[in-house]
Amino acid sequence: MKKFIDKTLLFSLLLLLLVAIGIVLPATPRASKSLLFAKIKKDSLLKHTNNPRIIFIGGSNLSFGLNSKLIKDSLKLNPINTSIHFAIGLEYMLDNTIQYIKKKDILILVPEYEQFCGRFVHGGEELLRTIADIEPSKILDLKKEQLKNISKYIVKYSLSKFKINEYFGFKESDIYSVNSFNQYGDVYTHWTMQQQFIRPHDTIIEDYNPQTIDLIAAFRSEVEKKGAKLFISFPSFKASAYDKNISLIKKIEKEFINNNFDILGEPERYRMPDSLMFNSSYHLLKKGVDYRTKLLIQDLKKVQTSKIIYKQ
Amino acid sequence: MLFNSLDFAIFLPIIFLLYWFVAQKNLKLQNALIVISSYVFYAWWDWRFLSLIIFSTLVDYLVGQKLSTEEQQSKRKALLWSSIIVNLGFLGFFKYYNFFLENFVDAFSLFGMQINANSLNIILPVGISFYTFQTLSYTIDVYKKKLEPTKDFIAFSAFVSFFPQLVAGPIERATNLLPQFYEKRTFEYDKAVDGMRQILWGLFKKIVIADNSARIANEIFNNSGGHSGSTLVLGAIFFTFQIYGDFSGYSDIAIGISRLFGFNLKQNFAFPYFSRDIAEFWRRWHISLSTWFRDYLYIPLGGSRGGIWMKVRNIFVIFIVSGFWHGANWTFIVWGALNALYFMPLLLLNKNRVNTNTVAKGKHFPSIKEFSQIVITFSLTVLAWIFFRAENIEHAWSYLSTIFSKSIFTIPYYVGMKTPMILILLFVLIEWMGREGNFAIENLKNKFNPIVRWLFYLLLIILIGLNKGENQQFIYFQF
Repeated sequence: MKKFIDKTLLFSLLLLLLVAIGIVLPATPRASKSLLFAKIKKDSLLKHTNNPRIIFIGGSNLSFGLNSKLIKDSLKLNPINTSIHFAIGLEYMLDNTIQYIKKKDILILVPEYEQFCGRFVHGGEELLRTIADIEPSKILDLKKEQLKNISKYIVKYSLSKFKINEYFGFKESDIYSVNSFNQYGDVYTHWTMQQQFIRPHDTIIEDYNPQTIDLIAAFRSEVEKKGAKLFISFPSFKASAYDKNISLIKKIEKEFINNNFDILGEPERYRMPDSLMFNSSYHLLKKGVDYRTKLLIQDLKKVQTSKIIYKQ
Repeated sequence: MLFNSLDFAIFLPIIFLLYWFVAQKNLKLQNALIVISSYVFYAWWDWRFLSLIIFSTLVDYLVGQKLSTEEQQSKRKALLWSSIIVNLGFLGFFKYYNFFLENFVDAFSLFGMQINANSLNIILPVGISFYTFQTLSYTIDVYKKKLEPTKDFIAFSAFVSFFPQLVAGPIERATNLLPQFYEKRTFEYDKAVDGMRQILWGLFKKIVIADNSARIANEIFNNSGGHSGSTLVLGAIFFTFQIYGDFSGYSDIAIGISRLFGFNLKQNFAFPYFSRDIAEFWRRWHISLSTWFRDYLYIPLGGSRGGIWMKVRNIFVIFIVSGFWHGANWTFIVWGALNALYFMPLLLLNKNRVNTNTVAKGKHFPSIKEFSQIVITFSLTVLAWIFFRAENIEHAWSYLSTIFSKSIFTIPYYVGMKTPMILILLFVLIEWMGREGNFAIENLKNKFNPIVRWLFYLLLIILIGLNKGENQQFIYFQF
């Protein structure tokens, strides 16, 4: 028995040591080129962009679905597209953004529908990578649910540091790279590309999670305390995926209405034909990006006209 | 509690240490610890259904006691039927109530009769199909006087609820497992190390092979209308490895954990995808269920005695019932019937027991004939799994009709499949090399020195770690 326990402990300690080394090793060259590292530039934009500002918060439906230049030209506002990846989790996106909010900022929140289901709102592997690779000190700010979510990926994250292709022979992605974003934070490298294969989007099977609306409501209070204004919009979503998830989408819209959020347009307006999609149910081709941005501008102009938006 | 979860990684060492250090001098205490830990393990999902296990345990224990003193045949039969009715009653209600209700309503509507019947929102208790069959084997064996009924209620409770195999098997026979609860268990180093090795291999099968395959198979099956025939073939192959990795992985972990506690469970999978015909496949796939049906259904029905039509009938009955055991859906019944059809040529030509030994025993490679037989059997199995995986019969037909269309000659969509394919090839290679053991890496200790072995274990753990994400449910929990 002693021999068995000794050997098991020795092997476990070796493994723990390996995992610990993996965690403390710096981000690999491949990881350093990933789109998650765009956070540094986006935080800088949030810090340094002057008023009047319009700030977009969400996942890749925004990074792959917005032409901020059109917003700037049309609304005469300075756009900041903070979106990077859905799996960072809406909770972290909101917590990260609030520190940079200034008086009279206009915030447009466009969460993917999955953020309202299961535990997605608390983030996943991308949240762990963001924290561990980019801002380790922020681990202390994470909440219990976020820590629980990312704990599942710690071993995977650590061991990935020992993969040879993280250091040698990797090719920087054209579209999912830190260099894929323009000066406003939009992914623009795919604007010249053709449509790629789009994996069919499943019906979202996770249960509706009311925590998401509560988090957004709490965020709205914080935003208003700072003298800024929050609006909700809806993600551009491939028509077939939209139809599969219509009951969930309607429920989310109803929850926004019931909680008196200021809403821009309706989900149907952003139900996109397949021909406008790029490589996923949320990502748009350039034609789609411009179309979606124009819809958003129309919706923003409506609320400007009705003087809901603060006079800048 | 899932075997591939952090909860279980904490639970297992605690129980192991209590078992060998606190309770090791007292057999009853060890058995009681197994019962308590098994109940905790089960209650982790849903404590409410624990009452079903306890009730089944009580009924079968009491029936066993009565059978030991009752000599009158009619009363013995009544006792046996009371156990069967209680156990199959629970199983029937929780698993099949809605299925039968919906089909009765549909059947009556065919004759123009409209019946209003409300289906119930029933949750299927995890593992009910497994522990029901396990406890039934006890009553039937006691009734047949193959087994002495136990007077030790704690030992019997431990046998029914033994946590390593409680929720997804192997379905142990009372004749094999129950006597092990009467005997003093001593810790054996080699047995425990073997157990650890089998647990590691099971985790590799589940997390690396099954979960990676599941990701692709689910995407293709859930959106089969949008894929070409060639991609659907890939989807079916990935599901074939998913179900094998998932289920045999669970069995390996269960057997391995049992060895840590000094128990020997029967082998449940014996490299089924290297089978040379479908009869061999069924001797190697889910062995504990196949032999259960053989002993408690096929043989009582007459087995292979009698005329050819009786044999054919019995084969169809056993395969269809086996299919239905997997779930209340026509897809499982068709899957069972299809396997019975595959079996027919072997039965009619009396060739169903030709391939009983390990393929290419003692050799590195199979002969061309053996290889062709393996490929044909594997392909037939892949086709049958389509029914098993499909949502309903219409889905299966549309999946199959797309496969057998011109689009099978197009290049399949394979983005994101390269790594899983390489892992599956590596897995098949290791399984082939280890096919003469009880599990693929059982004989590693005889072939390599400790440094190579530890490096190999480390590689497996790294692969498990790299593929570990969300804890994926085991498929067979739903059966």
